[in-house]
Amino acid sequence: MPLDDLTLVVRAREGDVRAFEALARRHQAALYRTAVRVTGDPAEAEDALQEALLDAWRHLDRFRGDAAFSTWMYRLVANRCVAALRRRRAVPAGDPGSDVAAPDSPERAALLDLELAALGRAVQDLPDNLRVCWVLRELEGLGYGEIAEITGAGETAVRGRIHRARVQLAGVMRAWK
Amino acid sequence: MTEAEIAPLACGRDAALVWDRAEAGLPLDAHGRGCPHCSAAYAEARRLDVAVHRMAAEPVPVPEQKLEAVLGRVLETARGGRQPEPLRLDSPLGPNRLARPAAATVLRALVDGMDGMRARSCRIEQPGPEQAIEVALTVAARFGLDLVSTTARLRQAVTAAGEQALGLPLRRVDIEVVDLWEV
Amino acid sequence: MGGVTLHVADAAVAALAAAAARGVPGVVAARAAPAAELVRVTVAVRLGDSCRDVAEAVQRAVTHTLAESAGRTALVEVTVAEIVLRSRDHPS
Repeated sequence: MPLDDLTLVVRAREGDVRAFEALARRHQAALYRTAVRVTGDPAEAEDALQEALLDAWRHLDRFRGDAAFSTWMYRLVANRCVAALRRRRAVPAGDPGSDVAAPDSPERAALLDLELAALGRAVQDLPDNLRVCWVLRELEGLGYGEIAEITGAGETAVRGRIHRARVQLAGVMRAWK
Repeated sequence: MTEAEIAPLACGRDAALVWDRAEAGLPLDAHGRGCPHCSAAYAEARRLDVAVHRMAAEPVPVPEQKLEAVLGRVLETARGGRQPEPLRLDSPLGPNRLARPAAATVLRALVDGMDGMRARSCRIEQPGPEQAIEVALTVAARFGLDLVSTTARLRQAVTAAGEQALGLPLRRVDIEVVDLWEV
Repeated sequence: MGGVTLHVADAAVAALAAAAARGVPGVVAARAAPAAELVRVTVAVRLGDSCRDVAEAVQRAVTHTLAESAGRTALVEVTVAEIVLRSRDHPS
């Protein structure tokens, strides 16, 4: 019988490792995907996920049942992603894999691939706080309220960050064209 | 300018509103249609949006084996961490120990086995000096269940089966229904 | 036994103890810490069997094995660390 998140959290908090495993299995793919989109690097995303899961285990007592567990986990992953971004110094990674749908001509295919690659690079060039909000909204489809919960910023600030991110990205894509 | 403030367009309109309309696929209003600033912002937003949708539609491959390895490492750490004080199991050859989470697993399994009930918290105390334990359970119950009779039956089942499976006398079993769930 | 002195290293004691524990009905997995005086055995037990009875059975089996195979008289302390709901779940 699949148990709800809250039941699993209460059990995991009391040392039930199997309950924690069930929680991790339920959420880890989505968390990993978000981490890849925020960091632009699958290896860093893996590390961020691992660290976030360990953070979760160690600090389950901090999770209050009022918000969704997934929101809380997103916050832990986002924190670890931002920490990874700060540690990184090198040239930003390109768009992780371009499996674009079949186009009508090889030239068009090449152009579409390049455009996505350029957008990917532009996203990686965004300042950390703008990038996190933008990815959560535009790629993960989360609402402003949830993003505010995840980042700890107010909804108005989130809206401002997303707008500034959009403006910056549009500027880069304009120059690319 | 604070983080929340967004610089307005040259015409005075809120730039973010124009962008939001573009993203939602809604047309510009009367002012926007005639305004070069709004129109330009709108067109730029639409262009970006097309590319962003393609990016969002791209699947992110999930490396199952790698995530399995990540989980394995995390669980190993979880199992190896600081453990709470174990319960005492008396024996003529010297006292043995029973980990609290293990005892809790047994008791929770008993609760879960009852139709319409799911165990949440399971706190166990062994005040001593004898090895008898006291248990406090919180459970979630199915909406519509007769709580009085079910918790009474649950208390009996937990006491009997708990003593049998743990080998420790259960001096006390407190059951609190903390949540209801609908089918 | 003639004039042979048997010395068994702590690690071997641990291996013997764990093997003896695994042979006890209800035990799904076992490991023991190398030690001289106090042998600590940690076991995972199948759900349903009395933890206390299984722990005591493990104590007896280990005490017996150590005396017979290693000539050791040791105090044995068993910790039931995990209850396995289905045997195939356990990552032995």
